[in-house]
Amino acid sequence: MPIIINLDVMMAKRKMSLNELSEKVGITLSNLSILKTGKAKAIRFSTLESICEVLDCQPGDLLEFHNKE
Amino acid sequence: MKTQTILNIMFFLAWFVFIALLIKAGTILTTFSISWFNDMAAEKMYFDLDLSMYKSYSPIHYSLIVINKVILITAQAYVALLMTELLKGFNLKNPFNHLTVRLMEKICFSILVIWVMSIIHNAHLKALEKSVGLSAEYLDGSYLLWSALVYVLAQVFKRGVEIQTENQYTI
Repeated sequence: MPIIINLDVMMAKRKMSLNELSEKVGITLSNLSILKTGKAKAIRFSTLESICEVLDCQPGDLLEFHNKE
Repeated sequence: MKTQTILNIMFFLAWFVFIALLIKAGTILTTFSISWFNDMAAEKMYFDLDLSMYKSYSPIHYSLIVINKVILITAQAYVALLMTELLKGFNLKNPFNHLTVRLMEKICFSILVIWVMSIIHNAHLKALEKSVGLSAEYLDGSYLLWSALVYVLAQVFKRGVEIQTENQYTI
């Protein structure tokens, strides 16, 4: 998929672990892991909002578009 | 709850049909073997199935008709077996899965085989009727319609699997 999720980069910048983020955002570790590994097919605005709030960032910091061509 | 009960009843019905068809195929095969020693057996192959006129006309045609009938019944039994597997693995909470789609596709192709076999059978009987004047009992030719219907359902289920997977991976 050409959309890349830079969740691990933002987590590293904020020095936050996956467990901590999971607790603060309120989504399960497995779902967060799916998001982090790029297996997710879609992300809800509510989830994106929560992650942005906890990591204090913009949606653009988390999502990146990479054209394969 | 009601749907689950209906599915359970259908599961047992499919098992019943599977066993009944196997018995039918076995009976025809047995009477076919006996008919080589006793001509009376060809008159009552299975309930009202009388193939004695074909036997008296030509043993080769008689054998071909019996073999075709046995293959047809076995294929029908296979479809019934696939139905039991489909109903056994059917989960109403998570109905769209790859196993269901694969089984539906198998059922579709098996029905297609039955359709081809019934066409061969009917063509054979028609040729005999024309050339020798033996009255024939043709098989139902609507199998193609059933096959197409199951194929469409399989494609719908395939799309269902895709939507379900997408839903599962929406965070």
